[in-house]
Amino acid sequence: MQEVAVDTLREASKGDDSAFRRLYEHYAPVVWRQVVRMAQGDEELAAQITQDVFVRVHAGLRRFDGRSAFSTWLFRIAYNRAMTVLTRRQRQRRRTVPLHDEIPGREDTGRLEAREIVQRLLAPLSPDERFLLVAREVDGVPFEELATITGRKPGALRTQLSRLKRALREGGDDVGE
Amino acid sequence: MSVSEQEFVRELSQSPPLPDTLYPSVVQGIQRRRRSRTAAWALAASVAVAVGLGLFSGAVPGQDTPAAATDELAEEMYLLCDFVNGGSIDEELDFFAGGDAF
Repeated sequence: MQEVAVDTLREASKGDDSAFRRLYEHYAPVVWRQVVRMAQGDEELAAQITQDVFVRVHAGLRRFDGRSAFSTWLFRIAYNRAMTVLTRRQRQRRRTVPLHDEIPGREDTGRLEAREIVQRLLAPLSPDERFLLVAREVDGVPFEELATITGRKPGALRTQLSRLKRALREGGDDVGE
Repeated sequence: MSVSEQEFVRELSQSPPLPDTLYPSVVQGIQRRRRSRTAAWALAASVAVAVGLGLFSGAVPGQDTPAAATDELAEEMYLLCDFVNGGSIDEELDFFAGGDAF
């Protein structure tokens, strides 16, 4: 991903509000897209997480040492925050919602549109898997960067993604029949 | 109907537009964080000052600070009990009613 100008980063870390706004406008759409997907389209929750991410980014800007790309550092904050919130929420839902409510049904699939099929395919995935799919397939984030963001090995992520895509292909065939 | 991989990725890239209200709420969050940090520093500073004063005043020779504080506190408690029970007010009324003020 194209990074924001170094001057903007420097000014934002010194407390320049307009520089921070430029930084937000540059990165927020990507963070938003990833978080919305991770939150299964729950916009209210995604807005809370994205807000929290940028508040944390603002607080931690001075600590950014430039050892990685700024986007990697920011996505790491976004990934960790989203995972914390969504995992906690998922645990709460498991306690209150019967499991069969979370599994997508397979009835009336004849006239499903592509969007619905995609949503049904994504529904049973974990936030982590959804993040991997969007970050890799849509935003084209390299595996090495994904490894830094998620704290896992690039090889493990490659394997996970390939398994995930195979399962989705099979699931897509089933849902689309 | 099924979806091709291209359709899948295209759908995956779709997301609702970034809410306009998000940036103002980020700014609010930053201000709230600043305020709570200031409050936390103020609290920490006041605790440090209180502890420091306590240690310092405790070091004055010939002064038994904990005992003095206990006596003072007990007296305050009696005054508070009197006030809550109305004892002190009764005494004051008796004083003015029975006195030769006029």
